[in-house]
Amino acid sequence: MMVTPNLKTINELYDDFVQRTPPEKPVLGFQGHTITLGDLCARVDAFTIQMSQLDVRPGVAVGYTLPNCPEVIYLYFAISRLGGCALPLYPMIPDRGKVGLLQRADAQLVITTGRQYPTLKEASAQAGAEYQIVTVGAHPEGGTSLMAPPPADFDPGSVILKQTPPHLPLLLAASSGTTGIPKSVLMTQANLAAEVYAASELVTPFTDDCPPGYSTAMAFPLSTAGMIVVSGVMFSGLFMIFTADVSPVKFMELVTQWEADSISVPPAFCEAILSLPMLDSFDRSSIKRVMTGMDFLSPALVQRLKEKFPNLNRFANGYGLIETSDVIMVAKGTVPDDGIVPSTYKVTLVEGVGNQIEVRDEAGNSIPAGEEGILHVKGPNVLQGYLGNPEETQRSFVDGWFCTGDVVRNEDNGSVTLLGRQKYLIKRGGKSVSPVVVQNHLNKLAGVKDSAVVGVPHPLYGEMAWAFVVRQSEDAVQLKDVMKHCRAELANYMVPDQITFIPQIPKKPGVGKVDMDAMKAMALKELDSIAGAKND
Amino acid sequence: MTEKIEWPDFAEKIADYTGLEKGDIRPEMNVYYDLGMDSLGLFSLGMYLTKTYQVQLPLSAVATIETLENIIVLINQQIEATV
Repeated sequence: MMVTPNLKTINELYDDFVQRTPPEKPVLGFQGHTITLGDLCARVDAFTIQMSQLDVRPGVAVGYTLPNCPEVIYLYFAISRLGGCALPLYPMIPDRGKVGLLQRADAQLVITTGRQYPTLKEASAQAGAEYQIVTVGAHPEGGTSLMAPPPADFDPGSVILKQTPPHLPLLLAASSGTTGIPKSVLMTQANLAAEVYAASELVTPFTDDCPPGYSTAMAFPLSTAGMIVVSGVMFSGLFMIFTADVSPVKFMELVTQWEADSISVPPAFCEAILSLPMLDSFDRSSIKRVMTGMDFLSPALVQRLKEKFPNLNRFANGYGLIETSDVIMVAKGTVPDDGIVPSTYKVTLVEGVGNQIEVRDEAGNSIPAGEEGILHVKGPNVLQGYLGNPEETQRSFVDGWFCTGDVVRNEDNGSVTLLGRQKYLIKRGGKSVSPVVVQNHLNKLAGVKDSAVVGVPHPLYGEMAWAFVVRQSEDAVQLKDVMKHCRAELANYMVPDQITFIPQIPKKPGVGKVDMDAMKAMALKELDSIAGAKND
Repeated sequence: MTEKIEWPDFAEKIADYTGLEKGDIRPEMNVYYDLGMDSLGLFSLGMYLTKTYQVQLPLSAVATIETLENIIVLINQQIEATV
């Protein structure tokens, strides 16, 4: 491990990384271009100066909504060095949703692309938002662009924090929590520094037995979780390769072009790669490791990856939640020649970070090894609670222990076997979707009488969000109206994958609870009739 | 389904599924970048088109799709192959 757990803030870790790394060392590969540490530092310095002139300082929230690009990384470190608080907004959130999040965070500055600027500006004006919007590239109205060169004689050392308090907020994010209802969380410099150590476990011992220049091609979006893990991976010395467009074909072109040593992708994306009919036409011999996260990595998937990536010899999968600043536990091991790995669900707490785990029964009592219960976590990775939500904080954070809501078997010695997620959530492509949030949104549409949303298992991609909608009359609302309504305010991963109009929501006898199983059965029947025929 | 799918009809179906206006649907639109889809979203769109056009789309081909034009070409190839 090239990072040692004695530095307590992201700023200390950044300075340490810069000092121990030669400036000519390539650190990022983007769209065919190599970015050295020297390039990265110059851009971070330029952004630091630009943003100090835009009055970014401790206590100032800076929102940004950008596609995958190196500027996301420069921005994050520049905001950190000035003591500001970053609010990354997934670009696919509709503008109205972004404006609401920015207003709730009291953002004073927002950074976007020239392409997204006009509609974001319009939505912000409609909502009476008062923050300033600047762009990373050319500004369509000639306004402030962060790409403009800073004054030549301006020293970034004169504006960066001399001392960074470990408990200074650095990242504001949204969590679906254990119920799936979105809640805001604040991560401090100390939380995120702890995460750098935890995430570097995904990389070790990969770096120990690899030559310098070891690279990984990434297909994670550089949103909250992606950016957090990137810090850990980059500070560990890996050369990270990524692209703005992460289609499976583009990704394999990237792997081939750069002869990447490893791939860092969600499990669902592995499935998409494996389903490419032209996969055999790509040179896959460079890939030796796979690093995953955001979802379960099954032994069967590792085996199928081994069939197509013959030199694959190691895997690692990270486990964690936003409330634990992402990865705190890791499952990893070697991949033998036959591709059969004993377990990928047994995850082990990363040592040396200071986190603790406990498995408890429903009454909150600690349970012994071999038994099943709910995973609780305490330590430097764990956040203080939910912003402005004392009730939910009290429910989920007790005496510093965070209740993950995930069902596990206690394997002792800091390890657990993951058995399942909370029953209320739909795990769609690695992201948690609350059926309640989607249903409430559907029910707001004029012409909709009732609705229910269920997660329908998909053989390759996790779960699909399937909405059943009862209309007030058959011509009251059509598919297009429902989809338009959903896409106007819900993030793209929350928009239902399928809509089925039904006369009434099936209910169970007795007190009349919604019969989720009946709807799942209806959906599965339809899925079988369509998808079954499609598998070739 | 035995007749070739024409763009205006296809654009209307895409508009229905995405909630966008038909006039905003263009053949060169990237399903990932412009429509904000992921692998599962693309598969779900494939399911909808399968139902709508009564044509079988091979799952292996869905992963290769990048633009709306790729989809209509794929559907018409499948129709042609079954006629």
